[in-house]
Parts: sequence; structure tokens; C-alpha cells
Amino acid sequence: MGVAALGQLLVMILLGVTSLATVLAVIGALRKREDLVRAAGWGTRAAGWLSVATALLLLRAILTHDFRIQYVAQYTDTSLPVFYLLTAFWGGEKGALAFWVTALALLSAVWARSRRGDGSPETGWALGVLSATTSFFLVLMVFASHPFETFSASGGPADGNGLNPLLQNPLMAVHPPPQLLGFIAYAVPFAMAFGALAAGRADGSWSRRARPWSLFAWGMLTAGLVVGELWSYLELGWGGYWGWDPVENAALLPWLTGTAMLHTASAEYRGGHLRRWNLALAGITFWLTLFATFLTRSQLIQSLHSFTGSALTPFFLWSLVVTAAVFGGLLARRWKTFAPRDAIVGWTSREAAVLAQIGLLLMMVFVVMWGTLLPKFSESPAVLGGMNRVLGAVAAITGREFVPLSGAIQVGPEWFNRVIGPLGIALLALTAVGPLLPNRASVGAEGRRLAWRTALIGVAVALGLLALLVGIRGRALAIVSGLSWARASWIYLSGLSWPGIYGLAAAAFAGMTVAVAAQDWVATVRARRRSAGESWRRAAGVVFRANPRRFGGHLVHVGVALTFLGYAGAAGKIVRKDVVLDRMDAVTLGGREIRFLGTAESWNPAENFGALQARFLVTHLGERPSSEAQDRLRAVLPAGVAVEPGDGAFLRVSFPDESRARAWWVRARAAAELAPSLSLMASDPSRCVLRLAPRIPGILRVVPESFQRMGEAIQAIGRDLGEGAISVSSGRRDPVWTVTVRDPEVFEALVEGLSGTGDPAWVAVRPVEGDAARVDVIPPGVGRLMTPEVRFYLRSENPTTEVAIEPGFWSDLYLAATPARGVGSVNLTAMDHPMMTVLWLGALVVLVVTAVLAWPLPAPVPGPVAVRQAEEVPS
Amino acid sequence: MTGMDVLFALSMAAVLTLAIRDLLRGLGELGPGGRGPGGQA
Repeated sequence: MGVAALGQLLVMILLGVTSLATVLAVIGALRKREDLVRAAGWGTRAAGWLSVATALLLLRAILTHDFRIQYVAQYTDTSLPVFYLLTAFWGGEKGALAFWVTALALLSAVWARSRRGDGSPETGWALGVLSATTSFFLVLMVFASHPFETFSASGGPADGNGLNPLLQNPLMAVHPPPQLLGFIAYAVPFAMAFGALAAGRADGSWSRRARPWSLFAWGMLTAGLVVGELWSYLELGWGGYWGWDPVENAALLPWLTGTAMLHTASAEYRGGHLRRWNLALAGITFWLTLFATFLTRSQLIQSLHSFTGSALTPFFLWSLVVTAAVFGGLLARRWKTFAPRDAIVGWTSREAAVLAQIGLLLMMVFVVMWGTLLPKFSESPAVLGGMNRVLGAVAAITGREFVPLSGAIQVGPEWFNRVIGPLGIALLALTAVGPLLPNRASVGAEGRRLAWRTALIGVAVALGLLALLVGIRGRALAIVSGLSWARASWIYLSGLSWPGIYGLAAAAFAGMTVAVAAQDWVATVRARRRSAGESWRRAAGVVFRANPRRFGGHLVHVGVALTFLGYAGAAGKIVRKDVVLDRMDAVTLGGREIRFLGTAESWNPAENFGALQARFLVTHLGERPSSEAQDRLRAVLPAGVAVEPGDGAFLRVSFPDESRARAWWVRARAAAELAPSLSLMASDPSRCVLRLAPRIPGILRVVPESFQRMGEAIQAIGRDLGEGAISVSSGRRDPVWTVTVRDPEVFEALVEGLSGTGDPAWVAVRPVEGDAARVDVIPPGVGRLMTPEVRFYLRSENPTTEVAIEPGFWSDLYLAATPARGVGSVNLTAMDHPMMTVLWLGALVVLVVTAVLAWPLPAPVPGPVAVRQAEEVPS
Repeated sequence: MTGMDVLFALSMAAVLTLAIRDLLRGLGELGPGGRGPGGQA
């Protein structure tokens, strides 16, 4: 039996097992038959193993280049490195679907194992939901998008299409698994909520058991979002990390409600509050994962971030309707059963803060959904007509002038930033204040006193940070304008625009969040030390283990605050310049000078791409070559040549006469600019003729224009020599440049330069305009070389960009460049990107702490832990 | 047969055996003669 036939058989058996498990589980739950529920549990576990077998089979087909299978032929080829072969598993719709099924079946099996021996209706319902969800995706696979589908008659192509170059990047290759796992894992808390609802078990035990699953799903979703942002920042070359693209929005939606769910679960755990919210959020989050998959299908289809038709659409639409109807109906039926144990006490309680947080997050969900769907919906003339009627009526009532909408509404990133900005700041404010608020169990005098102290410290830190930031800006303004410091600060403050205000507010609240968390840690650890006489380190460990929810939560909040600082910094003051530069031109940005040195080609046959690289020298304004650099340059120059400081990073070299200067700089430039890409085929000293051919002929296959660029580099030297000094022509058939030189000395210098390799004694050379005996040279050791590039692939029409980034704590220097094809100039996007390191650091903190929290912790250490430990109420 | 082929065949055999074992255990649970609570490895 062939791999494809075996795969198809396995998928059918898998579908049979999951369907049977669904039926057994549901009947078992309805009739309270423990044996049926337990049998369904074993079926779910068997399905887990079967899904692994299916995945192994697909992986083998990919690794052995079995091009009879359509998926393998569409997304891989024989030249793909093993790493990208492995990642091609989820590189296309069918593979992503196979990944989805495998992961869901495995997670369901792990969950079934955790409930082994339990035949309760609650477990039965949950098993039913999990198996039904797996069956749903298997049905999609069998009827709409089968990964083991073969070519009908022929044996398949000799080689495959290869993987989309955008996915041939380590970050993008690893981005889908956490993203998809985040989506998939939310099925487990949903199934548990469903089980509790259907069985009417209102003791909150489902939520406690679901906690590691929620944390796992949330952590994965966060990791997926962060890796996606990082990829966008490093690879796409548009200068940002979040573009409010429908796919990004879709991934954000379940993350928002998942975040709310982590907090309602805590509220339910602490005092049986917000039970119905907790259930509802489990339902909404799961629904949003389906919705996200439906909305973009990008996680399930190859075409990145595009809306193309897929056979999956109607299936997803129905799954959305059925899930909403069934879960909504169940929630309504059990509404009274799941009434909270107590009413929420006052608006200053922790639970009130969580409720406010839910409100904010749901508002964000609404805004993001609205902004994502509106452009799509308004493409329909009926919707557009309806909106015009409503807007017209509103205009008639208010008496305003009304211009009807003529085409689909465009919603850009500015709109999202404007609307989400204030909601985000409010959320951050809650993050700072929420942990201070007492929950019902701890409204003691001691707790209140501590809370007030912490609040005061937090507010002081926030105000101090504000004063510091305003002061720094005011000082800069005072120096420039000559005004007094206070007056300049006031002018700066009153002239702030909204992004600036958001930035300051974010900084203040982030500072407060960190201060509150630190203060709570320090106070609790100190109390523990006093009572148990332990070291700081041990006490901190004990305190964390005794109450991971609170202190892990604090750490996650600190990480979130850091990312907010990053976002706010980016929103506040990105400096961006888009310029076209010729060779040796420079642009200044954020106290740096960025000088374009030229382009170079590189060829990477192992990964099937050639690259056009733009070389930039980045120096700080006022940075000058050291005396050692001057000495090194002197050592390689002929005798009788003077070296003195020149303009900025340049040294000015004075030769005794023009011809020696010319010979020297022609040789230097031929070595630095021509030799890396052109080799000397033949030279005729009697006629002063050179024949030059591309050093890497392969590059012409992917970037044919680079031949023109090489000719342009020769001509650039000719232009600096003067009219008629060099004439350049290319062969009609062969890619060869013929160079005729007028002056034998220049000819010799060219030959010498081309024969030698680049001299390490200089980075860039240019003749001084109007003074032919002098040459400007940048020696090595000044500034840093940055080389953004554009990659061209053999098997794809789409080039990809590789940006160059110089990371810094306060700001990154970000360069994306597209060498203008065929000519010597470059289109450069240079940005000063503030606080990016802080953003990634914050994301890392969040991820690491979430991983620790999701891991089962050892039992708490016995003994007195802290004064405020009484806050935790085990139910 | 390369090493990869052997590894693949062995893992497939192992995974399928485990699947069949779990299916049989599930069948064993069914009916009044089922093994009752705790009937697992």
C-alpha cells in the first residue's frame, strides 16, 4: 500500500474513532452511563495515537519527496533544506489542517488521560465536545482539503513547487505552531466549561482544573503574536511590527478574551465571583478561535494574509452558528444555577476591577472586529446603500451636510491606533491599580494599610517618572530656545499631541505597575523573612510557590507594562526618513550619519536565492577616526603623502601630484567596488582594454539587472575621472563588460585593483571635488557597517527584504533598502525606533513567567508565609 | 532500507499498537461486564 492510500485510510479510521467517541460520550453523559463515558475516554486516547501516526506519515511523505501527493508537490521541492521541509508540514492549508487535527487529538488525549477512570456526565460532555471538534476538522480534511490527495492520472511532477520564500525564514517557520496551538488549546477550557454547564456543576472545579490549559493556550497565543511581530519587524521591511492586518487582528481577538478569562478564573477561585462571565468567556474565546480561522483562513491557507476563496468557508460559517447557538442556549438555561456566591462588594474591590477589565477587553474585541469586517462588508452595494441611508437620515436630523459613501470603507492603522490607544491606556491603568484593590476576604485593617502604602508609592513613582520625562524634554527645548527650564517644560507639555500624551500616560502607569508589584513582593518577602528567619532568596521562592497566582501575576504585569512602554515609545516618536541616495551620499537621523557606500551581490545556492546588498556606514555625528586609524592608513600609503582629519569620518589624503592621487584612488576603488563582483577575464595593455565578467554568474539568473549595476559601477569611476577617460560597452550575447581606458596609468591601476582583493586600510574612497591631488578616505574602525538586502529566489517571483537593525536599549536604528535596479542609487527607509528592546524584553518576561505558571508547581511550603497570605481563600 | 526507514517503521508500529491497545480497553469498558472505575493502565 502506498503512503497516500495508507494516509487516507488512517484519516478515515481516525474520523470513525472520534465520531464513535463523540456518540459514546454524549449518550453516556445523557444517560449517566459511566461505562460509555470511560469508553469514550479510551477512544479519545486512541485517537491521539492515531493522529500521531497520520502526522508521521505526512512528515515521511514530505521528507522522502513523495511528489505523487499534491500537498508535497505544492509546498516543497528537492532543493529545500531539511529544516524547511519539516516546517512545510504547516506551510499550506492542508498541512495546517493536519497540524490542527493532530494537535487537537493529542491535547484531547492528554486531557482524557487526566480524567481517567472518571465516568461523570461532566467529563462525558467535555469529551463529547473535544471529540466532536476533532471530528469537525477531520470532516473538513476528508471532504474539502485532504493532505494525502494524490495527482489523478500521472505519477506527479518530477520536482515540487518549493516553499513560499516568505516562509523560508527561521522566525516565520516557527511562527505557526505556537499560534495554531494557542487557537487549538482553547478548545480544552471550552470543553470543560461546556461539561460543567451541561452537568450543572457550579462548584467552580472546572475552572480550577482548566487553569493550566488556559495558561498554556494563552502563552502559546502570546508567543505566536510576539514571533509574528518580531518577524514583521525584522523581515517585512515596512518599518513596523503590527499593521492591523486582518490576520493579526484575528489572532488578537481570542487573546483579548483569553486575557479576560485568566482574571475571571482568579475571581471565581478567590470567592466564587464572576462565574457566568468565566463560562461565557471560555465560550467566546473558543468561538473567536473558530472565527479567526474562518476570517482569514490564512492559518489554513498558503496565500499569506489574503482573502481568497476556500472550500472551507461554508463549513466554518456553520460551525460558528452552531457553537454560538448551542453554548449560548446552554448558558441561558443554566443561568440561575451558576449565580455568583456573593454580590461584588463595592466598586473598589478586585472583582469590580476585573469586571471593568472585561468591559475594556470586550470593547477592544468589538473595535477590532468592526475595523476588520467593515471594509469587507462595505464592499457589498447593499450594505453600502443601507449605511448611506442611515447616515443620510442622521445628517438630516442633525442638519449637517452629508456626502454619501461611494466605495468600500478603508480602515487603516491610524484608525485602530486612535481608537485602541485610549482603551489600552485605561487597561494599563487597571493593571497598575487592580492588584492593589482588596478582594472580599482581605478587607482587614492591615491589608488596607498596606494597600494604601503601595498605592502611594505607585502614584509617587508614576508622578516622578512623568516629571522626569517632561523635564528631559523641557531641558532639551530650553537649551535650544534659551527659555527657562520650567517654561520650556510647560511649552513642551502644552504642545503635546495625542500620541505623546498616550506615551506619557503609558510610561506613568507602567512605572506604577512595576512599583506596585515590587512593593508587594518586597513587603511579603520581608514579612516571611521576619517570621521564618530565611534568606532573601529562599523567602522569595517560598512566597512565590505559596501564591503563584499573585506573584506570577505581578511578574506578568511587569512584562505587560514593559511591552506597553515599547508600544508607547513607538507610537510617540519614531523618526523616519525615506530617501534616494547615490553612492557616498549621506542622510542624518537621530544623531547618526548614514552613508551609502554602494551595492554588492551575493549568491546562496544552498537556499536558492541571490541577494542585492546595500552597504551603509553608520557613524555618530561628530565621530572622527582615531589616531591609530590614521597611522594604519599612513602605513599603506606611498611616501610623501600627508594624512589629516577631513570632513566627519573622512581623512583627507594629500598626494604630491594629481596623477599619483588618481592612480591611487582608482586602484582603491577598483579593489573595493569592482573586484567583489567582477573578475578580470582578459587585459590588453597595448590598447588599454579590459574584459570583465561577473564573478558569480548564478546571480544573473535571479537578478539579471545586476549586470547593468556592475557596468554602472565601472562608469561611476569613469565619471569621477572626467569626460572620455573610460568607455564601457557590453557584449551582445555574453555578459561581459569591455572597458577601454585612455590613460595607461589609470589602466594599470584598474588592473592592479581588480587583481588584488579589497584592501583593509579603507572603507570608502572618494576624490575631492575641485582638488585632484587630494582624496577623502574613511579608514576602518570608524562607525559600523550595516547591510540590508533584498533577496531574489530562483523559484519565486516575490523578492523578500532583510532589514538591518542596530539594536539599542533606548532605540533601534532600522534600515531597509531597495537598491534601485540597474543604477547605482538606493531607496532607503531609515528609522529611529524607540524602546523596541524594552518591548521584546517585556514579551520575554510574560512568556517565561506564563511557562512557569502553567507548569504544575510543587506543593506549598508549610509554615507562616506572609501577613497578607490570608487573602487566598481555598474553596 | 535506510536508518530513517527503520525508525519510521518502528515508530509507526509502536504508535499503532498503542492506539489498538486503547481501543480495546475502551471496548472492555462497555456493558455491565465492564471493568468499572480505574480500569486503566
